[in-house]
Amino acid sequence: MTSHEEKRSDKDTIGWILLVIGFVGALFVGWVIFPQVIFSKKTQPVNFSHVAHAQKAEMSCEDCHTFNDDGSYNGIPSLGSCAECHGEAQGETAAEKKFVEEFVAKEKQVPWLIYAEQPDSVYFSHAPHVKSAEMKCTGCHRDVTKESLAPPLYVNRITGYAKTIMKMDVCEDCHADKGTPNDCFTCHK
Amino acid sequence: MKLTRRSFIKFAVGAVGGIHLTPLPWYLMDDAAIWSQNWWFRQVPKKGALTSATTVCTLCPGGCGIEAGLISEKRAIGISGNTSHPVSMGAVCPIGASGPQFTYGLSRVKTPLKQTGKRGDRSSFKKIGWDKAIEEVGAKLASLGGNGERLAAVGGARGSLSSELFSRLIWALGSDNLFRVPSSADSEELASLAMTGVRAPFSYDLVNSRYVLSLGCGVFEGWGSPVWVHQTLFGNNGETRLVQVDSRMSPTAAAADRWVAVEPGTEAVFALGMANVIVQQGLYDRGFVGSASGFGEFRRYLAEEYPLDFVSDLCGVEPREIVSVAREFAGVRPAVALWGRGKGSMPDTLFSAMAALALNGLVGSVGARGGVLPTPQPPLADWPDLAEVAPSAQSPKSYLDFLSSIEAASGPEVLLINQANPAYGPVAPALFKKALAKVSTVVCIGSYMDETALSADYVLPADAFLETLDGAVTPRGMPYPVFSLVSPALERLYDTKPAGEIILRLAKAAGDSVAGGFPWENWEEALKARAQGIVESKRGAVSDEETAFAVAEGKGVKVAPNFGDLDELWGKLGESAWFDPGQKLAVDFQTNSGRFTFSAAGLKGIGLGKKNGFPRPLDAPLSGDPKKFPLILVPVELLIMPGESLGAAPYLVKMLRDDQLTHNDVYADVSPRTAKKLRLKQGAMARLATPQGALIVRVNLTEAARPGVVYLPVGLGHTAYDKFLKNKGANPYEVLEFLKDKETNEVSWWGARASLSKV
Repeated sequence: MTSHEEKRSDKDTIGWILLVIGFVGALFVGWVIFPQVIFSKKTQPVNFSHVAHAQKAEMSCEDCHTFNDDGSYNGIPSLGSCAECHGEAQGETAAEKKFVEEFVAKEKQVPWLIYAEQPDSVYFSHAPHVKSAEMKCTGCHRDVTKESLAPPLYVNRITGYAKTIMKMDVCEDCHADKGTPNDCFTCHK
Repeated sequence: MKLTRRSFIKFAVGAVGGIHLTPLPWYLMDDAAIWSQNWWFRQVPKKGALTSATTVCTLCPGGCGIEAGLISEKRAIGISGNTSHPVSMGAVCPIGASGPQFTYGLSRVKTPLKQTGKRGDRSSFKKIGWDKAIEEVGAKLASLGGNGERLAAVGGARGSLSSELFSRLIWALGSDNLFRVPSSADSEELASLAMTGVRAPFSYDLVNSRYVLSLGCGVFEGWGSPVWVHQTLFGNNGETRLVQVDSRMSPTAAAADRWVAVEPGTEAVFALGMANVIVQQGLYDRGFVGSASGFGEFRRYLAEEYPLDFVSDLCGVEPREIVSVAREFAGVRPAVALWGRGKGSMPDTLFSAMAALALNGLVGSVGARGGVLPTPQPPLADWPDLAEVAPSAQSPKSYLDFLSSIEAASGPEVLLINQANPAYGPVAPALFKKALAKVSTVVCIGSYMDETALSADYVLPADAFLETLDGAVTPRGMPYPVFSLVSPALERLYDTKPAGEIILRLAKAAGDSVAGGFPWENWEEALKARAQGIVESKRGAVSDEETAFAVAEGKGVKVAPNFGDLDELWGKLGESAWFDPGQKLAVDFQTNSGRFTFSAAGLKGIGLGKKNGFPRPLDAPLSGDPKKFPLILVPVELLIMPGESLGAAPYLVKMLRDDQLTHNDVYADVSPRTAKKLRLKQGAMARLATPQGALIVRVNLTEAARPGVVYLPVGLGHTAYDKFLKNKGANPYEVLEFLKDKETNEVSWWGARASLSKV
């Protein structure tokens, strides 16, 4: 018998082990590494605590998140609304100090990161959802009432969109359930 | 154990197999697709806060108050009506809604231009600075030495204070060669002067009319102040009966309660046929007619010239239909007859305007509730007197004669054009273009590179829609005085100025004797000087939503001034218009007799009215051999096609149906009966010929067209502007016949003899 024959009868164990390693490794990369790496982590320019405003300051949601006369919605209030109370620091946190010094005093709008921001191609109006369908905020948005720290925004490095973005299928499913139109031009004008 | 290629491959297979059982490949594919949609060159408008600004639309003489939706106060994204404005009451028409496309369009002239090569060569226009442009043109004006014959001017629409300033400039330069773009308002003015003694176009108290007889007016197609008419007629709960007298089934005819199909061009004869019936059957308003003068002769004139059979023959309408409409008209009070074919911009004869006014007089609807009255003007202060006498007291000069005389001999040295496009239309553009060749210097004040600007030596670019500053007086057809401030809604895009400012600067550069008549620092000051008159009149009020709607609903509304001084008035004018709905409708007749007069004799004072009594229809019929040109071509003004001084925006061109415009081919409407005789099928290309020229069109077969008549929309057939409009369709103005009303020298056009043949 030659070594050649021995090789042919070799079960190539290393190869099979490598196959398993490759397989498991790929699963690990795909399920664990990839989700970490694909998103960049961004934090708000200054912290905002919903708990402090809703509980301590005893404000309601509508005090900041309101409809305008023309039906458009103020998702994130502008500096002017905040400055109505925060012309001077109201409390003792470092975040508020930073807010008052770097933004209110300099009359600079805070470049808030928006968790629910949709692409340019999407037309969304809060009015039919909040006023007509009487949906709760938590129907689409995360529950902020227990948040004292603004969560980081995970942004997909390739697309630039947030990890938390609501994609089209979620809208379509609810529209289908409720019997509201799912025509293209309903949301893409 | 050895590491071989095979083992490596097994590793790869494992990895590839494994990765497919993870989200990675699927997410990456999706991400890649989205990434490819977000490349840097994708055109995305900048985000910004949504704000709005109030102003007045300048795209037609309708004078609608509008609200412009803006992003970051800079970029206009939409137009809606101003709910507190008494003209628009919150609505806009399609042209107004397309407004931003005029502003942002490709044909805007962005800086002053001077033609340094051959006239008409776009590429040899050179940019020059404003100071230089004004200096050069001003010097040319000054060099005329006050000799009016050396200057001529074509002015744009009535109703704007910048137009009035332009007229003033021409008079100050000693010239009476000022031609306004002709419209039916010209003959209406003279008819009103003859019969009421007040020289003004017709206005109508539509909100109170219960029977509206439209003599060929495009009531829902842009006539008068289109949005106001629409709001008023549709706003009163269907209590008003609308009867349309028109040769075709226009959209107005289709929407009317009754359509009387007459031969084109015979609407006024129909009116007098009705008048004859009303008189003979004793259905006229005894009170009003009793207090008028000239009725006896008018009655004889009607009986002799407009017997029922004659009118029936000429108009192509059954005698009993004439009688029926006449009895209806005289039986419902208040009834009113409207005049002004199409949008009211088709100029017509003194005869026609007087026929309509006489018909109204017979039923007592002159200066009465629901009737017609001379358009009341707001009590603006006059600008200081000029040394030169304004020719408004004189008889109008004939535009056609003037053009012909230039073409035949020599022209003025300078021709000034203000916001008009006479090289395209509406009157004799072919003749105008020939006459241009004899003019040394052509100066165009306007916003777009249209046919006239293209042929100019200097183009002085004016601010456009949403940018400009101006004053707008009572819109066409409105029965109470209105003054609107057209204020800039956004910062101007280019190096342009308001037309009023340009005219003012030219005046100041044209020599001391001229400049003396223009003592204001700037255009705003000149506007304020006029507005001061409203303050001093202590009448009217700046409207709000409640008042505007109450007036539109016919509720008798009394208003009192809500401004103390000019500053307060000016501030309020930024939000809405001043108006005086309480002004009485009754007419203070200024005729020699002090009474309403059924005759044109009163025009002798301005050198017209050769004949005593009532004028007759134009002596000259349309020229051309009826055998060679057996059809009649009638131009049609569509709601969505703006007037001749504006080239339609892309939105408007897109709104044309496939049976109106396909690619670059315009469709002429023809009755199937006529088409069959000519062996023309739907969509066939045809040669539309008149004695004046020929166009290539496609035919659209429709029962809405009267047999023997060809209808062609105006507003297409441009040879200037940009790719969105240039070379689309054909221009009927090139082939229509322009007739001269011998009574008044005014231009009249409504059609031409025509033939259609297969191409």
